[in-house]
Amino acid sequence: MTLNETVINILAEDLGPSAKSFFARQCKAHLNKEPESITKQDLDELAKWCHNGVKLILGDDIADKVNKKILSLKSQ
Amino acid sequence: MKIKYKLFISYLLIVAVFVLAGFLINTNVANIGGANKDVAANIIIDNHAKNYEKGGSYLQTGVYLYVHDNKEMGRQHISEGTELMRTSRNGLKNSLTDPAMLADLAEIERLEDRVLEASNNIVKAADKKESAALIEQNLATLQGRVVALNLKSSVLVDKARENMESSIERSKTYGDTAIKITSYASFASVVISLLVAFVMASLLTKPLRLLTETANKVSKGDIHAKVEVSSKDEIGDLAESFKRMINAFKIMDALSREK
Repeated sequence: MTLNETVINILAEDLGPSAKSFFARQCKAHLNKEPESITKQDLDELAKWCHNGVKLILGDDIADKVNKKILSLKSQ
Repeated sequence: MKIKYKLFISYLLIVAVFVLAGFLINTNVANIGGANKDVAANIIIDNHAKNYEKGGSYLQTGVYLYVHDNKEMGRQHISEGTELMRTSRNGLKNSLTDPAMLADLAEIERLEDRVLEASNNIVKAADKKESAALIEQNLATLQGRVVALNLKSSVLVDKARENMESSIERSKTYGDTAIKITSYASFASVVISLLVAFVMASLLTKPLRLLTETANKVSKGDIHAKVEVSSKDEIGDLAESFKRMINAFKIMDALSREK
């Protein structure tokens, strides 16, 4: 499983079918990258933007959870 | 906990209530059985004691007939009387458990020996053709001993009757209690079962009702409706999936607004 698929799976646990679109939006708008091209070096930035985005729409709890899960991928 | 386990536990609870009710009823029925056994035992004691009296009278009649020139019939009565007393004595020995009644029986046995002794003396005197006055005197002695034997036997009869009456009374009390307990236990079992069924139905339908209400709101466009279901069963799983779906709606809505 590639890194972008792993991130989408993590996001899908709370965002359901919108995870893929949300992930693509964060990559393109904030990291200036295609979702398929993200690497472990992008995870800090990605986690931050995902946190901000989810926080605005779904609240702190889910945002914190998503942030932690994405950051945990760095050590894998 | 999964719904099937919740249902299984409710079922076990209802079964336990009915088993407990059955146990209470059974205990009382067993008590009635015990009292009835006591009644039967006392009827046997009563019969043996009466037969003892009858045996003494048979013997006395036999001796009288023997002395008054009816030896054949007299011998037969003496034999039957002796046998009847012997059988009754053994029967009482096997049936009695009360120490006081056993003491009475020991006294009766002693009197029986004395009756048999008097009877043998009269038979011997008659065979030796002793004087009529002596024989009549011995007959009077025998009669006295038979009366004493009968009086002592009647003590056993009275005690057996007393015990029988008290056992019948106990049996009646247990019967009344059994009827009451059966009524209360049946009523309580039905009430508890209904209560358990009602609580279980509420536990299962309440989260479903809440989820349906939220689904209705979302279907009418309110994607900010909250899912307030926290059960840990299949309905809880369904609620989690539904939350995820609402989150997706919210994200899609936000993304589409950005474009």
